[in-house]
Formats: sequence, structure tokens, C-alpha cells
Amino acid sequence: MKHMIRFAVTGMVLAATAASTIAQDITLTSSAQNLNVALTGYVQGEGTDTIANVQRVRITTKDLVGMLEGSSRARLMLITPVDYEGDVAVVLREPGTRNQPGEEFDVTDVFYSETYAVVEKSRVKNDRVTGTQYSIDRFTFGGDWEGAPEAWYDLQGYTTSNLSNGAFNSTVNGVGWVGSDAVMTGKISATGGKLETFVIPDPDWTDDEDNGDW
Amino acid sequence: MRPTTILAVAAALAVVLGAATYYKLSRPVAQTEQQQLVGSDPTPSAGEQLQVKAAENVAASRFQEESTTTSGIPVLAPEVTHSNYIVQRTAKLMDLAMENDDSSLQTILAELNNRDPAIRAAATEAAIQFSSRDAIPALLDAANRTEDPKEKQALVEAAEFLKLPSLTEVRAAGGFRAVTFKAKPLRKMPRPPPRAPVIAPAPEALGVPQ
Repeated sequence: MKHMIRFAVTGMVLAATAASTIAQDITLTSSAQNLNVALTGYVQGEGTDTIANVQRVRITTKDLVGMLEGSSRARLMLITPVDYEGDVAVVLREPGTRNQPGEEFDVTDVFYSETYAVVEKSRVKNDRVTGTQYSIDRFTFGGDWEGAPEAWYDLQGYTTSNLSNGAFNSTVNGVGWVGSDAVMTGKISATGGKLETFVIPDPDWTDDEDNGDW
Repeated sequence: MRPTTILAVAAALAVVLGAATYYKLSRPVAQTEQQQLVGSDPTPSAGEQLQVKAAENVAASRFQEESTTTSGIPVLAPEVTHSNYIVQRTAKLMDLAMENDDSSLQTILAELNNRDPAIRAAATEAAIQFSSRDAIPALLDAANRTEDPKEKQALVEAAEFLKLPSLTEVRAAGGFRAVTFKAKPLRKMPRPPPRAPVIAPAPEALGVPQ
């Protein structure tokens, strides 16, 4: 009799555990790439009545991270949805530990890009796309709104993208502000492409309620 | 209520919920959501298409790798494996580029000697992103060793880039000093011929008594 009651209680605990499992643990996948910036800014320097000078400054991803108040080891990541609906996001990711992922901050609003024209040479085989895409793109960082970073750029570039892994490399030129007006040239690229999964803990989440807002 | 009844009800409940859990967990979330993604927006921009296609490719690539390792039979073509290796190594180098310690820099600089040109190019980019002038000697050394003119140029340009002050350094120093240079034509233009003043001078200037 005791065994029967114990078995019944165990069954109920198992049932309760199963019920709680149904209500959560939706795993989603995204692709995370490193966003890399390497720019040279040309700023009008001091001079005399007869001599004009130019000062140069280098701007890398670490400088942008610093302006976004990230730590010295934080990195900029481009997050692309794989199995869910959503926009490409830019996040500032702080380093984590072996057991604890680092903090993430959404900085998508600080970055903007658009594609003006695109052509591609590609092939689809076994549901895999390979090839290269060529495009003219615009990349901006910062702006003149309150609380914006202390520098900005507005660049246009010739971009080649690897369709098989999403890596792209853009040779860019444009204008910016780094404490003074600047003429800028350089490269913006994305490398990597690691798959990452994350869990939606919301117990009320269902397919029917997915409205695409993430 | 009899214990046997309790037992029967609890067991039946456990079986039903267990089956539901199994169904829910084994549901191919990725495929379902991916189909929704493709069908939801009939006219995605080119950039979005690229990102989605690339992300799908990365997913397919990982699936292929997993199926290979689980079966134990290498089915990937050598070039696929090599391209995956380049992608992974490049990602690793870019991860190291965001660090600040000397060992990370040394790992990056060691890859400037890699036999694979793609890895060497990735190491050059990583050295730029590491943003330390300590990388300059190794970059110039690698430039002297290579016989590829494009690679040599990339390495020298990387070294020259690192010689520049960084924006962080400029900001820490208080920014660029105020520009006092008065606008002057940067190209020498021919001096225009003198011409008579358009406005007549005041009588006092000509010494005419009032």
C-alpha cells in the first residue's frame, strides 16, 4: 500500500514537471558575426597663412565600443535571426565567464545601413547557397540626437559578400565628425557566423501570439 | 478513494503529459519558424535576403558537420572542410582581436606566418582590430617576407594605420585643437588683375574739404 501511494505521488510529480516543461523552453537560433570597423579620418589641422595641414586619426571597433561605453573587452556583434522572425540587430556584448554569458546591450539604433544596389553570382545546391554578392551600401554610426555618441560617420561603400557564410567586406568612403569635421575612408566588415541559441522563458508564448516583435 | 484508483489516474495523467511533452520538444521549431519567416514578408530587401540566406547556410553547415561527426564517416568534401576551417579560424582571430592581453596579440601575429593566405589576411585584419602599435614590427617583418605584392601592400598599410593616433587617444587628449587656419585656396590660382573700386571713396579720403 505504501509503495502504491509513493508511486502515485511520484507520478503526479512527474506530471507536474512535464506540464511545466510544456509551458517554456522554446529554443531559438540566430547567427552572430563580429562587426569590424577600420577607418582613417582626415581632419583639417593647424596651419599658417601659407601652409595647410591635415591630421589623421584611426577609428576601429574598439573606439566605437568605447564611445558606446562598453568595456575594453566588449565586442560589437551582428545578430541575424535564423529560425524566427525578426530584424538584424547590432549588440554590444560584454565578455562572459565559462558558465555565465556576458551582458548584452542592443545598440541597433546607433547603427544604420541600407543597400542602394545589388547584384549577385550564386548557385543553390542541396539547399545551400554559394556565391558572391556585390552591392553599394550606406553605413552610418551615431547622429545628432541627444545622447548620441561623440562621433559619427556617414559612409558609402562597395561591398562584396560571401553568400555561403554571410561574411562581408565593404570599402567605404564618406564624411564624419570626430571632434572636427572629417573626411573618412576605410573598411567595414563582418566575420564569423557562429550559431547561437537562446531560450524564450515566457510561459504564455505560443505560435499564435508570435507577432514578429522582438 | 482506493489507492489503485489513485495510481491508475496518476499513471494515466503522467502518460498523457509525457506524450505531449515529447511531441512539443521533438517539434522542429527551426523549420516551422523558418517557413513563417520566408512566407511573412513577400518583399524583403536585398540586405535582409543576404542575411537570412547566410544565416540559413550557417545553420545548414553546422547540421552537415554534426551529421558527419555522429555518423563517424567523413562525407564532407575537402574544400568544404577547409572553407569551414577558414571561417572558424577567422572568427577566432577576430575574437582574439577584441582582447587586450599580450598572449592574444602573439597568437594573432603568429598567424601572419600561416601557410594559408586567407588566414594570413584574417590575421592582418585582426592585428588592425587589436589596435596595438606592438603589432607594427611583426606586420613589417611579414611584409618583407611575402612575395605577393598585394599582401605586402596590405601589411604595410596595416602598419601605417596602427601608427596613427586612435580616436580614443585623441579624445583622451582633449580632442583636436581648435582649427585656426584661415581658409586659403589649396591650389595656387592666378592673381586677378587689379580693378577700380566699385564704390566711390568718401570725400575725406580724397582730401576734399567739406
